[in-house]
Amino acid sequence: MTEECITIFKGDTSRLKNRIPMVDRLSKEFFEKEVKGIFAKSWLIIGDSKELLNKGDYFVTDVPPLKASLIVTRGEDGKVRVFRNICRHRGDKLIHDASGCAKFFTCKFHAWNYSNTGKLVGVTDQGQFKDLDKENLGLIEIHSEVWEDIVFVNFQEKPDQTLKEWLGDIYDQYAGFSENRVKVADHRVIVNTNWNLAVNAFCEGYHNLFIHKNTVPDYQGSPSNPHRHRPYLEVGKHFGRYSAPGNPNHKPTPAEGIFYQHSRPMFPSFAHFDMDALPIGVNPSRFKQWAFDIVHFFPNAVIGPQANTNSIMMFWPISHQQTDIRVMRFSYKTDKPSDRIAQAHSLVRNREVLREDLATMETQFQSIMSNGLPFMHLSEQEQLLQNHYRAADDMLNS
Amino acid sequence: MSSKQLPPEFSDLEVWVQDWALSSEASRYQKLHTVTLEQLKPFYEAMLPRIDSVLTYLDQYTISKLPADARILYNLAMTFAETAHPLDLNWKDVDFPDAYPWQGFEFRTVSATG
Repeated sequence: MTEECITIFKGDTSRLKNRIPMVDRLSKEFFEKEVKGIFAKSWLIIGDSKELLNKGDYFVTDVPPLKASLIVTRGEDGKVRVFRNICRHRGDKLIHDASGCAKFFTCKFHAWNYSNTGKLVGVTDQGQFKDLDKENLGLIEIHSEVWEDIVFVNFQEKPDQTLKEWLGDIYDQYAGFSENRVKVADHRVIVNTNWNLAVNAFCEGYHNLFIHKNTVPDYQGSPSNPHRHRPYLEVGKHFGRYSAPGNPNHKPTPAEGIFYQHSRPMFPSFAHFDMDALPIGVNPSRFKQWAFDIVHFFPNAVIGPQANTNSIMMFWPISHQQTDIRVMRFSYKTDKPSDRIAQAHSLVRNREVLREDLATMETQFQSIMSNGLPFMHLSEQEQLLQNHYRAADDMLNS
Repeated sequence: MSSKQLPPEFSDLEVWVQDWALSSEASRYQKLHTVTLEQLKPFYEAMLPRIDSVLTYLDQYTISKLPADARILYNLAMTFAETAHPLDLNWKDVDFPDAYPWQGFEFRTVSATG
């Protein structure tokens, strides 16, 4: 059974533009404005707290546009906090490994010692310091909030808005959507492109009929939806989201077919299941042939809720011409061998799809920087991109 | 190398163990991109008709309590799961035209097994 696909558009589209001048936006000078006007002021996704199951678990990550190294840790009190990865003594990097579990963090330079709640608890040869105010020399905390396990930070001294105010209505629409899941893949790649083009590539489904013909030729669309229109598309102040239409006539490849007979279907096969079990923000229109959602969290992250899996993608500018792309994939917890094998197959299909997406963004950047494209023209199906540039201009002009 | 590493039911797959029973995504990715399609094809053709039985066999255990021989079979199945797509999709190579260079990928550790 198929259903005719007419896109349901939601949200305020009155200030969106379908012609975007690009070349100046991708310049070094413009990037400096974006760092100060966008990255230093926005709520930013930096990771997922599923990696912090136990007290003392931590991971270190960096925020390239702000040149910051961060420690994300679950303290002895169970609370997740984010600190600058800097010893308060003379500024050396405090933690040098990628992750671990620790009650205390000790600087290797002079062994100043901090608790995992950020307090300075030990100063070597403290008697030699005059007037050392230990109480105020704890690790520097960055404002953070954990939302559905996803860790957001805001680098403002006092954020203009709480995360709830920043996200608006969708804040309450995803309750439990990634519960009982575990990280199954974490891929990184540094691409020679501008971060706007990188995040744009994952915010529209207009491209998938063409660019993904090698890897997942028939995963979306149907005879009644040949152009693979999104069944649902919504724009908001700091987000955009759409649902993708699964193909009811998708033919699993030989290996894919066998894996999903033993386990739960996953990308590029899509499960049919009880939609009522989903939080209202996931597949908001309850499209029957639902494949997955894409939610763009302005400025530089995308999450992909799906029946048996979900992803977080971050697009971090290193400079105006280089982007650090981080992709984390999660799937249901399992100890059953065929489940993990089926998950691995799905992850690889996703990884190959990603490599198709990556292939376009370097050449696109080169073309635009050659001053060869006065405007980028965007269709209604690419409204999330229109909304991305509207949101950027709102912040830069405020 | 010892001659018998897999459960006896799967002795026909023994010949693939040394090169293809790989224990991490990064090593399987490396393998996929450093063989030719002609080298991949015999492995695919040996595994495809057996994978259904392999999965059934493995599912009598949990991942955390796989016996040593089943663990090797599991690794073999994982490599198949992650290298089947070029032949499954009738590619002319182990990679597709204009793919983003495979060497660019960095694999970070994950908590899930295997």
